[in-house]
Amino acid sequence: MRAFLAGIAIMVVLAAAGVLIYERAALDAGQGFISQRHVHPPEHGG
Amino acid sequence: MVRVIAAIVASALVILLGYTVYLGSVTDDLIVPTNEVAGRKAVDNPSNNAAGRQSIIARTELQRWRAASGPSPEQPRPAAGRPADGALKSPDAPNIPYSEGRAVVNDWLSNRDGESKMLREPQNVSGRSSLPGPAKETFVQPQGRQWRSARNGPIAFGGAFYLIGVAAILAVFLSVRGRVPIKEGLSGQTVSRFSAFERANHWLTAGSFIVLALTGLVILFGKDVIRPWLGPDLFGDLAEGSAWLHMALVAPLAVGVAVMIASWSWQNLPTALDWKWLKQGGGFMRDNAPNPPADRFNAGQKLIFWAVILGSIVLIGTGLAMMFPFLWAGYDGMQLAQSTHAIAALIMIGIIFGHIYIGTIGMVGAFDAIWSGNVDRNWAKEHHSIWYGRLSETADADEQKSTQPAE
Repeated sequence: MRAFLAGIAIMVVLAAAGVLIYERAALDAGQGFISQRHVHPPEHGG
Repeated sequence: MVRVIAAIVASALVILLGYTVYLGSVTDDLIVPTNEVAGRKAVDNPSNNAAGRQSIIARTELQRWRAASGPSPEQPRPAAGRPADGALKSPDAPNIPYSEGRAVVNDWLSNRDGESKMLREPQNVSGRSSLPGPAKETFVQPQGRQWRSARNGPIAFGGAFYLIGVAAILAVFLSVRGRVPIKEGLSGQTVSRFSAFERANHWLTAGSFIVLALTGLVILFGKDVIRPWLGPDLFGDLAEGSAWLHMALVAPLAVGVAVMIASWSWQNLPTALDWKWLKQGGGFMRDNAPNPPADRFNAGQKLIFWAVILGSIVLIGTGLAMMFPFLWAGYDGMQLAQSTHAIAALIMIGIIFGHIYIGTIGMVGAFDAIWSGNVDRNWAKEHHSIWYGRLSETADADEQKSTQPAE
């Protein structure tokens, strides 16, 4: 039971970290889809 | 009692399987435009019924009318490019006369090289666009229709048939065979099988996989299966949440699989015993069948292990290609990634059905291994005799050491 709960807790923590890392990576790649913050090219006001 | 319930479940699954086959056979692959603007507002896709077909015909007629009247009905028809003798011949097939409407379009295209790509480019229709974002210059991608048709047809119906079929086979097996017992019965003594670290990592991976599988099934089947029950608004929230969770759970799955590779790979390498184990069906088929010898992991567990490792690598790779659109792959690449992702995921879910079955209801005493970490001695002796023998030798040696008098 404790091992199960530990595994699920680690899963939740890694999922939260994964979302943040993904958002950062997506923004770095000029995308930022997950936050719906679409990156516009400079000619469209950035 | 378990066998009776399994027989009822198996019957229900067989009926569901038949219904899936029926649905797959009556659904034709009429491809309709994804949206339409009528009366200056967006309307939903036309359904595949008489009214829907009428809508498609009306659109086609509209296009035919545009072809007959030129690019703009208010403007005079362009005459440039028409031969001096007035003969209307297609440059592609000069012997075939063609209609006035087509001649007009051809004339129009002959003077507008840029626009001609709209009809002549076989793969993509590309041009210039003021829209932001990657791949903005591709206006039309005809292969997308084939991809969509495959996703909504063979992949969706084939996947449903496969998953329901695997579940039905397992239910039939349980109803016929019953639970695989411990032949000598419970000994009352246990041995340690998995450490807390191994079990926590198993649940990290398993929990991630189950959430990924459920959210993935919502993404693949939700529109057809859940939306009619839930309604568009609630289903919209469910679908958006599923997409988020599906991406969020990539990191936990990747970490869990990486730790599994590091900690279990060497114990899951194939040996000569594995073939013998497979030939005897692990000794699962009859109560009086002998149990083939196995080390810490038997051939069945090894197959599951490598399926999870290879499947996860494929799923994570193709998933990342979709999570970062146009970064590594274009339209074609992402469509290939999506199809591969869906097929690999469906295969893997079916395999995990088998794993969950034999690890829980299918075999007496198996679930304790991954829940408490301890298994009954007789279970260990019957299903993992080589591992149990080694464990006993070590325990005996330890016991001898502890009973020797100190010098």
